[in-house]
Amino acid sequence: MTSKLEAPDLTYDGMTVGDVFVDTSITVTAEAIAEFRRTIRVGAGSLGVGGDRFAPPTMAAMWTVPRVMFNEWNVPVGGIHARQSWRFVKFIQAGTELRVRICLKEKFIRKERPWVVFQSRLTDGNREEVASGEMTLVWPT
Amino acid sequence: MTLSEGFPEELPPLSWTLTQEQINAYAKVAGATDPIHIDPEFAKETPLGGTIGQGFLLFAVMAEQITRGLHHPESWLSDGVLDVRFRAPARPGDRLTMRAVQTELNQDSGGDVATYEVWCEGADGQRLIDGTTNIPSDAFG
Repeated sequence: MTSKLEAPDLTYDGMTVGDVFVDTSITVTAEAIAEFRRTIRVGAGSLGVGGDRFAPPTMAAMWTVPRVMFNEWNVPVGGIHARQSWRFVKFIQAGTELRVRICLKEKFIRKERPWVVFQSRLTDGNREEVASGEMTLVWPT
Repeated sequence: MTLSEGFPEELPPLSWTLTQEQINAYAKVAGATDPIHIDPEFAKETPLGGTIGQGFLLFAVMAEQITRGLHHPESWLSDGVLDVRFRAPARPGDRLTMRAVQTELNQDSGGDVATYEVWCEGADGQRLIDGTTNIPSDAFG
C-alpha cells in the first residue's frame, strides 16, 4: 500500500466515472478481527457469528473506502458520508486474502454541491465475491 | 418478540452511549484520520461545532444489532443487503438506539423474505440514520 505521505491528491474534477482508485490485496488477520470487534462492541450481547474466527458483518466495509482508499489517496477533509449500502455474500474468515477494488460509479452536482458514488467489490482467493458496496459522499469543497 | 408469519415484528433494540474513546478507537482500527472525528479543537471550529462519530462505525453497530436479533445470522450474512442514509451526525455523549422493525413480507426464489426498516435514533427520538434490510426466513428458523 502507498504511504500517506507519497499519496497523490484526489480531486472532484480529477475523477472520471469508471476510474479505478484502488486495486489491492489485504490479508484479514485474527488480530484485526478481534480489534475491530472490540471497537464496535456495545452492550452485553454475543460476540456474533464465529467469535474472532469470522469478521463482523461490515468489517470488510472498513477496508474499502476509509482504510484503503483514504490511505492511498490524499482526500480533502470535510466530506459528508451521505449513504452506504453493503451486500453480504460470504463470511470472511481470519487468514482470508481479500482483493479490494474501488471505482467511481457516479459523480454529479446536486443543490450546487459535488457528489460522488464509490463502488467497492471484494473478492477472495478464488475470485469469488465476498462483499460489495456503494458509498455516497458529498465531496469536500 | 411478537411473531408475524414466522418473522418477529421487531428485532431487540440496542442502546449505548457513543464516546470519544470509541470514536478514537474506530479511527485507529480503520485508519480513518479525518480530524472531524478525532480532533476536538479542529472540529470545534467547523460548522458542526464538535467531533462526530464515523458513519462506518454506526453502520457496523447497526449490523451487529441485526445480527444479534437473528437465530441464524449466516442466512442474512450470505445473502443480505443493508442500505442506509445518514441524516444527522451522532456526537460523543449521545445516547443512541439501533432499531429494526418489519415493514413488508415478500417471497423470492429462496423463500419468504421480510423487509425491515432500520434506524439509529438519538435520545429525543430523532433519526440520525435510516434505511432498510431484507432478511430471509431462514435467519429466524
